[in-house]
Amino acid sequence: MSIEVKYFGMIEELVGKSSESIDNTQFLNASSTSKDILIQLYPQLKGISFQIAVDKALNKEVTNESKEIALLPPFAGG
Amino acid sequence: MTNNRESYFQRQSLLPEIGLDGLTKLEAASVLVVGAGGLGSPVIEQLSSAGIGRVGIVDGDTVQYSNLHRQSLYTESEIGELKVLCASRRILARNPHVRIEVYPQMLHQENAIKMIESYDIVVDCSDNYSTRYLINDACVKLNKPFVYGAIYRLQGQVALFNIPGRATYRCLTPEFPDSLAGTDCVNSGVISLVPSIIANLQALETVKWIVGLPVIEDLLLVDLRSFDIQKLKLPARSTDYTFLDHGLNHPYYRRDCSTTAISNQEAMKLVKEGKIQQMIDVREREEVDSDTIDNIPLSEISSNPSSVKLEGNTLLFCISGVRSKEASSILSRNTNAMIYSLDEAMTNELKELWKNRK
Repeated sequence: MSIEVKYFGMIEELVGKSSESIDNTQFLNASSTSKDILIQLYPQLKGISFQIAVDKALNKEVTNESKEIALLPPFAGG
Repeated sequence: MTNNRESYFQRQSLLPEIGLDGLTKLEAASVLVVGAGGLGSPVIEQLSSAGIGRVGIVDGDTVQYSNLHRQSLYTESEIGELKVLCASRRILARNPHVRIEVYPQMLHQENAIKMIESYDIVVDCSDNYSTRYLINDACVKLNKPFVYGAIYRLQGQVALFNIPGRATYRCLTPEFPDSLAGTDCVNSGVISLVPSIIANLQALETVKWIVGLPVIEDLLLVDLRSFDIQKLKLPARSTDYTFLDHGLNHPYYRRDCSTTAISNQEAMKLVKEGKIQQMIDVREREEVDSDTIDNIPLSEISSNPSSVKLEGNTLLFCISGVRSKEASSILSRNTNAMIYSLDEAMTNELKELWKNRK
């Protein structure tokens, strides 16, 4: 199964894309958190502050049913 | 023709969601707007236009030329004037039925409670994390809701925090963001449209909250490139706020991201990128032999900080970085511009680069 991953804010620049579809099994087989898996996929996110939203709910973990993850760094501008 | 309040707002009170009852609620309401910049300008304008009785504006900054493209309350002839005074003048010319209260200073932990406590709701139009944590914590302490808004390039966020039982800013951003580079308007760029859109949504939620209409419970995430607009369910209220029992005091309020110590190498990069508009030598007059770079001694900066007119992002230097660091912490209290402190002696290379840039 694949899961849609969306990158917001400066994270889009760090990973070089705004969204992609990836295999969800890597999230399900591991004992790490979904956030840690994303950092393993993109080491440039290490040390960067961000939250994840799974199926439009913040701070959740990916499950077998999850369709979408959004990576959301804090925004500062005003 | 009558020129009373009711006829001024006649079209608005026709709106079934507002009505005369809503107009009365708006008149009785008070809103504190923190920041009168890109988000603050449209928020102040819209709240006043909507008939809010009392609008407070907090901002210690003066009008800069580079503000004008997106901060519609100000004009070119007002450059150097306090934003809060210009904003108040402009609003009252258009709307005589609002009371504007101005605070020509930055929000800090000593004034936050006193300023916020006499208002019903706060609108966060700041441009940095320290102020957002401070607004959040003061609102938690005072049990006031606040309307959060922030932008990054063509994206923005809006949320209503600290509604009883619901999430707060710390539930969304528990840790002070480590990586600051590129997330503010000074460094990442901004087109007027984006803060205007986000600000209007903030003002809308404020008005809805006041008249008793349902308000957003989620974090609104707007990507204006693709119109990918999402409502992300905020986490449950989880932050332990017992630290507030000892008063409003937390290291995050002082983690000043507008003050940064940098090396000659970093400074050269910023100069080349056009990100430094001014350089100030803060050594005493007798120590300085060259007249090519502005000289404002630390002693003058500390005795009269408001006399220093900054032209934008500024690099301060001395011999070692000690005095420039001190000067930067003083000057950053009254500006939203980036204040850099050179943490070593200035190299000739940097000096030449700056002179030739001029």
